[in-house]
Amino acid sequence: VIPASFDYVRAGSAAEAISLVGEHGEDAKFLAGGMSLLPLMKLRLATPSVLVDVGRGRKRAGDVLEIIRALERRADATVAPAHGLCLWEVGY
Amino acid sequence: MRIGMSVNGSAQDHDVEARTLLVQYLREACGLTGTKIGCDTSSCGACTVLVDGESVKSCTMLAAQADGATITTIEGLANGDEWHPVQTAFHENHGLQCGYCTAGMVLAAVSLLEEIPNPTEREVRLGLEGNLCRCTGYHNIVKSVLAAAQTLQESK
Repeated sequence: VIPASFDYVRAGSAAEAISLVGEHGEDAKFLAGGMSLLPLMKLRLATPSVLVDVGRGRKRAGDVLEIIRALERRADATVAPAHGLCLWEVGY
Repeated sequence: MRIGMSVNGSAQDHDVEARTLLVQYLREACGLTGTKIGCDTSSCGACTVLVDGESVKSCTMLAAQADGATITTIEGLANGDEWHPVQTAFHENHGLQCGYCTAGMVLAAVSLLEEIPNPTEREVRLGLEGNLCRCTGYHNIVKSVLAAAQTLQESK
């Protein structure tokens, strides 16, 4: 089965990826590896009109060991800032 | 969209729809029908190819995602008339029955042996977990991979 038609764009940076998804709105989806999204698209359970590919330059399986050894969360990737509903404070 | 990649050492360049799957691209645009479509849902591994040396199920990757990559399919594994040691091992150990899963099995095995050059039987079984053989010929497939590992070790 082949997914329904969509436009494919490749993001060169995180900022570009965010602005591309912003530009295309709800119908745009990030494509990382695609091992979950593509099966959904084949079954028409997801029908994004734009795919923003952010999965280029992915890490290899062996890199995971290095990340663990580094004992440094940022050796993996930058974490996106909290956006939308989030916990500000816990008060007693 | 225009995409290009190196497939079995030859430069390919085609105009395809964005939704073209890598397996479709290889079979239909490049004419390399050695890569099979089995389940089409990334469960069976019949469509396994090497993308930049690592095994990938090509039914669940867009051709566009492989733009600029180096692909090896079963057609590109042998060196001229000389089979790859994994191919020889499958032949010698009768590692196939109907043969439909074989191209994927062989490439998954090549990738596995790249990662674990000297695997135990259990590691081979775990490593080939994502490749199904509906003839249930696993016994000889595992035997083949272990034999190939030995040949590759000896040739080093």
